[in-house]
Amino acid sequence: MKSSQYNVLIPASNGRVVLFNTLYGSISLLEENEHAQVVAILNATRPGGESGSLCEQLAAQKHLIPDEVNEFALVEDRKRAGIKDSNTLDLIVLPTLNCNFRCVYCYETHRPSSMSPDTTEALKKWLKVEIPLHKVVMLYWFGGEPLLEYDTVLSVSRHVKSIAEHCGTLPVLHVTTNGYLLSAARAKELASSGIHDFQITVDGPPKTHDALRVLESGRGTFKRIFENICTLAATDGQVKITLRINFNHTNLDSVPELLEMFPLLLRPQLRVVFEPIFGNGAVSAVCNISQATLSGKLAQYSEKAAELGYDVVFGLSSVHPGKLVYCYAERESQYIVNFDGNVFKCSVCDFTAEHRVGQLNPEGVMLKNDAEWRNWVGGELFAPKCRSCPYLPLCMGGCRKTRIDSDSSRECALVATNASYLLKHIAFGGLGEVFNRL
Amino acid sequence: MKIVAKPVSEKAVLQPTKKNADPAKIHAGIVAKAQCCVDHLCGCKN
Repeated sequence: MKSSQYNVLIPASNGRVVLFNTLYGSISLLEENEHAQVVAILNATRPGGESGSLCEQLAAQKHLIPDEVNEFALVEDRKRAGIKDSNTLDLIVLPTLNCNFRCVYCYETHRPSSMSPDTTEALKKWLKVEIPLHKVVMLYWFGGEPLLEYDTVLSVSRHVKSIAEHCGTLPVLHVTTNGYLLSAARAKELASSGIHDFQITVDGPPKTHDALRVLESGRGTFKRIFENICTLAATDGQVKITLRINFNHTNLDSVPELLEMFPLLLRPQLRVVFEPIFGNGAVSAVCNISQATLSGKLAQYSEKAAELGYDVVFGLSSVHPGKLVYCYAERESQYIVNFDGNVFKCSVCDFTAEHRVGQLNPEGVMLKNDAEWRNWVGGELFAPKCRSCPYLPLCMGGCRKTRIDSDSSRECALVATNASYLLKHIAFGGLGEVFNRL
Repeated sequence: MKIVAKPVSEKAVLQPTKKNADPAKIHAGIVAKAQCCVDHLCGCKN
């Protein structure tokens, strides 16, 4: 037997330690008096040579594994399977890059643009051929503000729903919107077209949200968005809204006030997600908030949101075993279609033709630029530095765009998470229902 | 030693990519793992 290279020891209270395996997802809680013994077993040249219940338990938990197992090869196999997986068609469509907001931290360049009738038809033709090849079709509307092109969103969504239902593919339709143009009538119409999944950003109560998320005119947007979210959730019980809270040092403390504002009855339909604001030093969360404060506050707010009745995932994705790729952009069956028919892999770019990986022609055929395409789905699975990282099965190699754009030998771009905090809670039984999702 | 979570098998991990995978379970797994950049933990927007 040998020690798994993916064991991670996390100190907990009262001298206890959580032993987590990032490859298999096994979690074991060690009492103070067991810690030194377990470390000695795991560090031994030939662990498990002596029989004993502790060694047997460590083997059953795969903290100890047979000598012949090549764990890095298992991670490679997972990633290959994730890249090649054709069960899910993952499609993001940008019907415009324009936006009616001018959020102070936005990284996108907004310009007047819309999907022409010809491009819309080409997209529909391609979808008619492509959807039957997959078990699940995920259509995500993004932008820009997609609801500026409402008719296109509605027309293509209905088309996808119709084809998917006809050929037995599961349709999953989603809109990421700022929520400003989501009237009651549109909420009903979108729900009936099969869109039950929304993401809308609210950056705190009016005083903080209206300083960050403003119209072109500079006017605040909180009141209308808040009303629209409540209307949307009440429209259809199937509707699920990811309430995204982008935070930095200017609004982090205002989160509890926001959480108290939404009606109790609607909260189970609202999934709260916290996201640090990136960008330049003036707005960046990580430049202005210490890691300890950030991690502590997020854990505190996640617990509060759950207590108040919101759907909270506690950032469980960060400790979920079995991730296959770092992000969708590495998958062969994933595409971002821009309003002009150009195709991209990653949404963090300027969407200029020079960065495209392909394009839709008027006949609805996707023409791929082989060299650009291979940058995303081919080449080395991992950077050399990942080979010895105990967290590799959780992240699956980090951002592909970062690897494409820069020297792969640079420092790891992953930021610290509150995974340790979550694991402790899971281990001590405080989040039983969360644990059941693992 | 208290067992909190048992190890998952490779078969279970790779099941969503198999030909006999159930579409509803595929979708549930995608949601649970947040296997997209929306919930990214990196600094890729830098």
